[in-house]
Amino acid sequence: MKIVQTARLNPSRSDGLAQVGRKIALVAALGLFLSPITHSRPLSDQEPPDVLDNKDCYFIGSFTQQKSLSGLSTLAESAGQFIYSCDRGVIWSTNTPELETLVLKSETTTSKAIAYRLVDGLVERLKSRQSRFLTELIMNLMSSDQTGIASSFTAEKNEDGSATLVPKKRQLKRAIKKISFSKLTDKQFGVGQSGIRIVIIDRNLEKTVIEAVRTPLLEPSSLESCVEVRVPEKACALFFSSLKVS
Amino acid sequence: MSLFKLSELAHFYVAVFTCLLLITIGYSASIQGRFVIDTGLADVAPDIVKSEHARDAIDSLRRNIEKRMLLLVTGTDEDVVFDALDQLSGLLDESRSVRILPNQDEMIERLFAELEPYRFSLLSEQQQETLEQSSIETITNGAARSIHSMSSVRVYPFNQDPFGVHSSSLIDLLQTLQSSADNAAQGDLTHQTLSLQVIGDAMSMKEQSTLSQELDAHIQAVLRDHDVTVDKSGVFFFAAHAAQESKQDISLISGISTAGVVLLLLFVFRSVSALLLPVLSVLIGVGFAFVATHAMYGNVHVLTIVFGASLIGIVIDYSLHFFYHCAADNSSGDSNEHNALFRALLLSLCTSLIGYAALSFSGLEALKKVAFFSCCGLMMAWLCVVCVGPMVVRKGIQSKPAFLEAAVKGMLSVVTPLTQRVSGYAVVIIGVAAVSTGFAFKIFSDDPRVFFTAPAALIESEKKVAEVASDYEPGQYVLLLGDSIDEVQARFGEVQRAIVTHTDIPSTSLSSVLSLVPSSAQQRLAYVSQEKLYGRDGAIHSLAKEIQLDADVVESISQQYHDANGLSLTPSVIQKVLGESLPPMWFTSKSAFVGFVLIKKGLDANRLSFALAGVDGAEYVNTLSKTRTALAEQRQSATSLLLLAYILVSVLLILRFKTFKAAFMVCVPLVSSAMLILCAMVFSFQLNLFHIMALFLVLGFGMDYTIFVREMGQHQAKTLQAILLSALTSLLSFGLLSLSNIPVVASFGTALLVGNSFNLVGAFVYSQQTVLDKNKVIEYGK
Repeated sequence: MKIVQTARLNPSRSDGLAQVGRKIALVAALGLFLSPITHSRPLSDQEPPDVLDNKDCYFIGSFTQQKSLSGLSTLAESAGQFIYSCDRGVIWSTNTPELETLVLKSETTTSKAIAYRLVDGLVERLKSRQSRFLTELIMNLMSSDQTGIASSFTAEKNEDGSATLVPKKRQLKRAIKKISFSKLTDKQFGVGQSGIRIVIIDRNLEKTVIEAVRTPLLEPSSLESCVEVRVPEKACALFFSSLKVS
Repeated sequence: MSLFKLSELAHFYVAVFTCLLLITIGYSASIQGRFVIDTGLADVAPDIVKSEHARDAIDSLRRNIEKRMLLLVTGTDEDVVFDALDQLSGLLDESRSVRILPNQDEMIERLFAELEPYRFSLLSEQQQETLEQSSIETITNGAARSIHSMSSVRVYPFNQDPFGVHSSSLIDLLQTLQSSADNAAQGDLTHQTLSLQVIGDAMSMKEQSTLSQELDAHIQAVLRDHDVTVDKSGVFFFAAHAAQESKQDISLISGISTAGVVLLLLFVFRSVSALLLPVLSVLIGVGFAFVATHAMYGNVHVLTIVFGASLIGIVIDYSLHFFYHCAADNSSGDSNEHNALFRALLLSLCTSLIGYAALSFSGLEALKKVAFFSCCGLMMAWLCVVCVGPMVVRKGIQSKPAFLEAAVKGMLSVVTPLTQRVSGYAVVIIGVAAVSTGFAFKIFSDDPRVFFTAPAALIESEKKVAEVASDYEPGQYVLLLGDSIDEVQARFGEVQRAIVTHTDIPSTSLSSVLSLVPSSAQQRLAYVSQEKLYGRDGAIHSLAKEIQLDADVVESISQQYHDANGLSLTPSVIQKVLGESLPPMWFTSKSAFVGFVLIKKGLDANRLSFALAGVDGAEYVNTLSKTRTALAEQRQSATSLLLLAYILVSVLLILRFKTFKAAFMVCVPLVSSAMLILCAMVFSFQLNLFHIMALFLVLGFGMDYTIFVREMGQHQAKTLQAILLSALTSLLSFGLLSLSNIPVVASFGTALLVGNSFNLVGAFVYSQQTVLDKNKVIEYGK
């Protein structure tokens, strides 16, 4: 009940800057699929960092998020799970303390991408031009299309080995100042696991830090495996096409 | 003292002439020759709305639009397009003639920043409803949870919008500014636009020349350095092109007609001194007209100058008659002939003034200026002839060539067989044929394109820019009028409801600055509702406890809410915030408010017009259609005024000659006008408002000829030679007007070419009839 009230006080938009806001989340999500930035070549618009060297077609993972907001003396912390499938798309699900899930699906027939948002069991399809732009951008990233990322961001490599993406396109610029990516080195990982830290500075210079660990899957994920990693059932059903949303 | 005796009034005319001449020189010196030549198309377009406030609003918008231009950079490589845009921006950034306007992003950012104090008065309907239904606890918990959300964006920092309400309401509100035709990639091409504003007077020929050259140079530099195309859009480019064409026309018409007339006069009089009076009268007449018009209106429209060039044709007539009837017989000192000449000159001036003055009844500002310009020019040239003429003709100027005499004899031999009865029948037949043609055939056209024919390349460029950078129908909008902001807003609501009810057009197809401003009642309600958030017992206090929000944040935002009490967002605030970035879509005068509503492309104009028919205070304006209607109305009105001018001239003639038969003198220009209609049918061209306007001058010329035939009847041969020579000079200047590239000018010239040719024929026929009349009198006398 409380969630519904919140959603109505801050109603979701079918267009406009709210969509751009979602990009923060989605761009953060896409960061999880970027490989640790270790190369030493100079970066340029024409030659983006080799952060898209994603050889895994399927993987799952978990993340933690910390937001520092002006006027708030403590960090706002949350956590959740994500799933990636090269032939289906992405699920990004926050479950602690709030429940909000983003589902990005690739339409194989039309080669277009569709975005959904689930809050409190309610599904909303994001139909705006900006959403289309964003999902196309992410699909480019998923398919290791470096030209795609170079068209949206200017990439800069930092001395500490991290990389920074600065938006070039106005839709992104309105929401994000910059995004930094670096490899997680201070955590213990299991076999095949890797971690990444993503720092997003938004238009108000408020900072969001996401740390994520991913585990590759040898076989395609299924509806069952999706539910197992505590992603809402409805989001999984949507992801695996057993739920139709107009 | 008689008005018709030159000798008795000579000193008076000389005094007036000298005074006007000194004033002209004084005015020119005072503005140091900085004359403004206007090229705007507004003057030649009729008013399309009746309300004075609406007209003011449209004028204000037009003036702003005239200064705006858009450059579209297109290329296949996005980086190259951005580089080209950067280079163009850099070059234009240093320009003193033009400034770069903020783009859509900058406008939105500016609104976010400037509307911050008004955020407490802005809530969407959904937010309002939710806020009213929610408890403090629900709101607090919702806000506490939303800080973790990945899908919310905060326009304002958290400490200014802890509930996220203002971000949502602002985003919601500003959606109307989001253009679907935003600069973006379309297909394989990338487009970027650059909005510019002319700093000086965009309609000034001087500014246009400087800026056009500067822009072309910068664009050429960009095209050299990058593989892109640059398209231009804006009234400026059309006006600059029209001005350039007009300038060429002025040079061509003035140059060739002056040269032609000079050569003709030299050939006829074989004396350089014969040029003195015509040249002097033309220079002084046109010069005075220019200065007087500039002093009266603050500028002179380029079309006025083009028409003014035609004054040469009329002004020279005075000199020619002076030479034929004064100079030729100077030695004889025939004072009766001098007085008869002066009477004819004065009457001729009066009829021409009536003809030109009738133009001032036109609704078109440009024609009013032409009327003023022409009347001033004619009067001053006339004064010049009667004041300076006697000094010039002392040297003795005589017409030499025999061809004029032979031509007159030849023409007379043609018209001699015409009896009065035959001539009368001819007049009736031509009149009936013209009227029948007018009713039976579609010989009139009110196409607004008569004002200007733009080159195809310019139109293509304009279309391309509109396709990429504009969501709205060009030249179409809904005009909302009201006595208060709330009334205009209520009407905007009615318009939205009406189109939803009567058409399948969504209300979002209409865009206005009003979309950004809730009604004052809604704003008040929104403010009061937010007491629940920021008031003494508001959710801000419980949220502060829940998420450890800093106390100074709570105090600050509560204070901001308190300070915003009574603060109301108005369209004027939006207009002020956006400044030059947005054309003045909201107009405020002392007693009225006018808002413009733009219409998305592709809407059915007829259905929209039908839907809005019942909405009071809302007017759907389709500029093209309205201009066509207004031109038709103007044409009909001009036709009525022409008939009035004929009546006034007839009355003047009856009063002068003290016989009702004198009124028949108007048959000459009347038949000439009728012949224009018949020519239009035979040669398949359509008549427009400007043909009708030219018929006023046909009346003036026709009356000149018949008056001289009547007044100077005792010197028929000389009079007809002077008329023939004057007709040749007139046809030379007006004939050239018909070759103009400007349709308006060409229409004017064609009508005068046809009309005045038949005026000449009519003058000879009338001359023959006056001879027959005299013979009758002699026979009766016997």
